[in-house]
Amino acid sequence: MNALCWWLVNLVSRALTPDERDAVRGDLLESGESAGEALFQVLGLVVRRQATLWTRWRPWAALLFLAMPLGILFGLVTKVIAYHGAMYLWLYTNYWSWTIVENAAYRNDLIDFVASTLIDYGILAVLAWCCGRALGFLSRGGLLVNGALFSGLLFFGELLYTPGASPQLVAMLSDVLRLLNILSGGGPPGVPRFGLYALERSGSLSANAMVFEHTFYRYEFHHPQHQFRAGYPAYLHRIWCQGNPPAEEQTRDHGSDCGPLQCAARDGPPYRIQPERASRGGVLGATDDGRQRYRTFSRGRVVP
Amino acid sequence: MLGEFEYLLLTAAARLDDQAYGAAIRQEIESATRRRCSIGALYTTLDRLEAKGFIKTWMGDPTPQRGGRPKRMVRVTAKGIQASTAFYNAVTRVSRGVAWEASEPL
Repeated sequence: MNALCWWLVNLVSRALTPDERDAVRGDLLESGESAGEALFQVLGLVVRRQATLWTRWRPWAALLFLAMPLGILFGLVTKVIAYHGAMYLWLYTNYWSWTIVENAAYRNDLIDFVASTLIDYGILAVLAWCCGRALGFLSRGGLLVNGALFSGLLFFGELLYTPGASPQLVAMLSDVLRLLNILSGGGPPGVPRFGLYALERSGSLSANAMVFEHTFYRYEFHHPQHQFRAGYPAYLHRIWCQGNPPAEEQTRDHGSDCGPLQCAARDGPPYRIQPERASRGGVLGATDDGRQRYRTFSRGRVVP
Repeated sequence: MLGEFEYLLLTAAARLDDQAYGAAIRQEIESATRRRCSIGALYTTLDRLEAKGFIKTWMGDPTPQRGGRPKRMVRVTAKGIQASTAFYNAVTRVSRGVAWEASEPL
């Protein structure tokens, strides 16, 4: 239980900036907090930080213009690709015969199916990665909440668009696909079987009710595909973002907290560093005339 | 004008002087007030005070007791001392002549 709590502490504290994360974990270790109390404390800090962050416009913009619409769209698109895959998989597993490989027409169809599925996977993974990157670009600090909402929309979209669950939703889905088809001018050249058109080609979902009578094709087959194609690329990008927050995201509510050398590099000479006591650490830095000097460092402002 | 918790934090940091960092300040506040001080409140208040220019913080050296993790060191600035003094004077003035004796049984 303790190990789980400490694992959760490490996980939750990833929402903090690296410096603050280290300071907080160190404080918790030093004060000998129990694992449960440590988790409570870190959660409290993360909630406060997020609350501060969401008073600005960027996380809201990321939520309204990226996480929500793209979460719904990806949920929709992955579902359509999953329909397509499920139908073919059902056909091949139930009616498999070596004739499919031997006969040129059947073989071409199989190759076409495999190739189009792989292309769909690739395109969706790239799009999801781009979505994660755009979210990070717009508001890296808000990734925690936006990422959770994005994943939530994917997951609930999965449940919502289950075949046979709601005829209205299926009708809406078909309409959206028709619209996308019209807007994109009939489909990208060279990729005639891109997943968006799978539903159009296969007619309506009700025509394939036999496939979706099976729980496997209706639910189990879709979940891992959904996560693999849209969830994981976006999630992996979020992890990457969290590990490397840019300097401007590390800046606290007001003012700069970057180190003096970074500030000096940004602002350029002349500058002087406010004096610190020698015991507070230092860095070996080059002076303007090229000599090396041991300088104390702090998080204070650089005074021109 | 400072808030109550801001004043507590500034006072603890001033008392600890060179040894003022997150965990030490938290312990100082807890022993003075006999109440729990959450890390969330501490760190968000530190940020607020730093933004107002009342304190200056920087990452200190890592120590083995902290699993090799650095401390967030704190130092009260002249502006912070001025604000704390003003707060203390105001509290002293407003408390003058008040006995704080309960007229009713608790």
